[in-house]
Amino acid sequence: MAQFRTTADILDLALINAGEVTNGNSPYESQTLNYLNRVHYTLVSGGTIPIGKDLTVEIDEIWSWSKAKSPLILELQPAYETGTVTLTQGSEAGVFSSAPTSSLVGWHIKIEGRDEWFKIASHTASATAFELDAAYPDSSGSGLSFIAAKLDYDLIPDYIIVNDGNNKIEFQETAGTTLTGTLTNGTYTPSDLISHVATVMNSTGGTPVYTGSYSTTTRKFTIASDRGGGAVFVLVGTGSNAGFSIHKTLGFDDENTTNAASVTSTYVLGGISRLIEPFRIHKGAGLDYQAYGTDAESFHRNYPFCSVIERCPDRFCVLKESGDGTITVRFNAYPKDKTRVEVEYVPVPRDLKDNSSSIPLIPRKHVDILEDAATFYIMLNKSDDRAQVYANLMQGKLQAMKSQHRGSLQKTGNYFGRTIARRENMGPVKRLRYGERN
Amino acid sequence: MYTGRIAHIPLGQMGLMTDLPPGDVPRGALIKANNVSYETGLITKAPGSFRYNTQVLPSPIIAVHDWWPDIVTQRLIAACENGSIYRDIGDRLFTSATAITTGLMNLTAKSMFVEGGNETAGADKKLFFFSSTNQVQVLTGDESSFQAIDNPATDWTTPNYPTCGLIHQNRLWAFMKQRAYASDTGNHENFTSNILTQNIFPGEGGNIIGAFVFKGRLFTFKEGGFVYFLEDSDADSDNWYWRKLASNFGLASPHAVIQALNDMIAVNESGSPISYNATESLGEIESADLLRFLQIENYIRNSSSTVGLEFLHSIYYEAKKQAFFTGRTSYRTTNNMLLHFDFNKETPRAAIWTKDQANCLALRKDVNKVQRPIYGAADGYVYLMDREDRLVGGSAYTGEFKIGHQDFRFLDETVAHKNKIFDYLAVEFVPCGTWDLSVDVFIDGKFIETISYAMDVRDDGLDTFTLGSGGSSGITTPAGGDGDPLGREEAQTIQKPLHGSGRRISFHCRQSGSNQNFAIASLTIGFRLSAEQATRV
Repeated sequence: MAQFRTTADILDLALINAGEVTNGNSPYESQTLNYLNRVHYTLVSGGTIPIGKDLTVEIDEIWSWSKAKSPLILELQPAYETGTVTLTQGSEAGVFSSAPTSSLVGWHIKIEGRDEWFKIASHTASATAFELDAAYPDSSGSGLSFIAAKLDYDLIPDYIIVNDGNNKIEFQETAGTTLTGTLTNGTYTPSDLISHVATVMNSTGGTPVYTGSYSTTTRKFTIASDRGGGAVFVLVGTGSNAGFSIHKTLGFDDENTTNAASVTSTYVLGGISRLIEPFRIHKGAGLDYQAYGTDAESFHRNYPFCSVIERCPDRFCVLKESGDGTITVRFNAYPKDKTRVEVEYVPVPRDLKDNSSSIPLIPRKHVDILEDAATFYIMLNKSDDRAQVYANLMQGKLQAMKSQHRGSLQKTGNYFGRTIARRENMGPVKRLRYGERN
Repeated sequence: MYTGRIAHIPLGQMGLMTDLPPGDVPRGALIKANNVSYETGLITKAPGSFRYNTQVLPSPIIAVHDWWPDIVTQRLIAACENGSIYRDIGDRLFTSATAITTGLMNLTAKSMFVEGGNETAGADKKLFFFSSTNQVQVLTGDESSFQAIDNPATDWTTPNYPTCGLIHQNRLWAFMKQRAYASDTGNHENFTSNILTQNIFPGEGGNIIGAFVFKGRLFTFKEGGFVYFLEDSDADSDNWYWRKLASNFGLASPHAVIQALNDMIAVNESGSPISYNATESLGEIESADLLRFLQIENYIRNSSSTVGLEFLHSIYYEAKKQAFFTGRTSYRTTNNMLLHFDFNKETPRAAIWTKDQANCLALRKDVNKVQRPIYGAADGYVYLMDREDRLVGGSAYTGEFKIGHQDFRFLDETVAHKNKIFDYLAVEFVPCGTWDLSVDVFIDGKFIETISYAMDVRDDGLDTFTLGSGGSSGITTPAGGDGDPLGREEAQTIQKPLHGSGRRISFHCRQSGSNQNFAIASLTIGFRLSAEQATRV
């Protein structure tokens, strides 16, 4: 416990504060981990932390330590308008005269001369047949000119970067004996990455044969072993290289899996806890080279489908956000060519685990907030009359943490120490922030 | 200032009490008491047992006797399962384990030594040996071999021999099947003339298991629970006759009856020690059952086996007011425990001693002529009990006790069902040495943690003293302070934090170290009331 850094340390301290044993026999041990995770998640992702009856602390800071190490890269697709389509009134089925090479599912299609946009509900790459999301209401026709544009994007990283910070893979073929493989640094698509991981495991291990797969549906990785030669298969998340292991990138927890023929990651690839900046588009996106987010209602009011044109988008809205951190956004335009978009975000934090490899994201100087919070919740659960003491401690430390964060931003800013008499003297005036309207 | 509640649990005033709902176990009662003693008013680790003979006997010892052929000569006689009897003259060698008698058939722990002789002035004392499978043997004075008695009853022939005997009304009484034989008053080896031979309610019950003289009255116990006593108030022995006392008491073995204080306690055929004094006064068998009276009957039944009951031995240790009964735990084929009762308080206090594997029990006078308990064991050694060292045959043993799962209703009924946040446990003890007492904490039945309490001196420091200052006495005398050079008479209290919360808490105190002791006076628990949360499991 001397390091006071790992989840195991913090959990033990909270138990001790609350008058509980740390030998695994406390009935509050697993609950304490839940408390730690609850507060940790809130601190990272924003939210409220209850500290008493009718009293909460709101957290809405964009902590620098909570941001993803590198932005998520999206590739905006240009419109597809090769050939013509045939559509029948009252039918959802349609036919391309020229088969698109990639699937256009989720794309929108507009028939030339008509105002409406329709959504393509089904289509297979290199197939001419497709289906709309509802029956085609207009007059039937063939040889119809069209524009198919991708306006909706799932915020999924198209590429994963492997470097010295995440190029290890640790696993066991004999219980208790950890093998370590080293990946080749580089940029991978999810499928390529998991294939490479399997290749490295095969070359590192002995008899067992490993295969890896990535599901575009669940957005999770699976590694399988035939456990040949009576081997076990344990993916190690607590090894000596845990800090440099690919297991986190793949979405596995900071713990060892149980011996099984295959293991599937816990977290979806690129799960996003919150978006924190406008999207950066380094070409033709208006003055700021950014696409700003706005709420869905405003977005659809200001940018109806009938106004969608080919240009670099400068607005987006979040269409939906799922519990696992999957976010779908809609842009107000489609680019002429493939366009790179950088998305800054806070990833979904991994669950803290009761071991020494699990380390909270919170900087060490503030990590005692977790201890105090967990102590408070245990005491609250036990109706311990000292609970409010820890609530006050936690509240004070949270406030100090926020103040320090804001102070750091100010003190490193261009205007620190300067008296600004008029707002118009502050340089470029019109600078929208994420979430603001133009 | 501590604002919680404080519960004090004095220890040593009550012994085992297990057959109660957890909340009804009184404060201070124990639900486990193994190798502990209550004689000092505290709970201490049971005293050790010293291996007497340095020369091991070649067979399990089934009977042992402290034999004084005269007032200055002490011998130790041991009968073994191999059919041999051995005599030790005080050198602890049993004559290099050379038997003084051999060839006795099928000896078991039912066998017994009975002192007699001295029938007339100048006559030797005699030590008789009853085994039910051999003719009654006698050791005359300090002779070095047993012989068959001179004049046995005519019907004492193979395979029928008396099972037990005793001295009563100047006669040696022997019992075989359903018959009592009383020797000539002038010769305890003579069962052929000037004798008494009486059938005791023939046909009723089984054979006679044992006999005992209590308050001058001879009792016999037959299989089937029948108890009789001899109506011998008439001066003419021809007018003596047997009367039936009860038909549902019985006796487990010939050695299963003792006199404790003003009471006769006989272990019946189901293993319950029955207090005959209580029986007589209360008139109810239920009330006379010691196990039931102490509310440990189920516990003892569940933790012991009835298989060895027919070989049960018992003794009463008057100097310490303690009684011992041999027993064995489940599935054992030899004895491995003693049921221990302490009669120093109005209500006996029970404990189990598993440290001693006694096949047979006896009393032996120490150098001060105080009778101390001894036992013979299956390993061929005789052990002297009640030794200051906490060792048995040089080996360490565990002394342990556990208090009931307290919900502290004795403080206030309303706190019983509330959760409590346990803050501290204070152990009050008398220092014994530089070692620890381990206290296992159980909350709502679940083991939580083990806390160690040092059992050494923590008072205001040692008084100044000079080793050997007592001169030739060898006694070290203090030069000042409280007159207690090692501070051992000072009670100490160590308070340590407790962790956890729940409705009930129990403590299992134990110590296993070699030659380590403890003397615990009380436990004090500090706790704060929580609420009525659901139990966390």
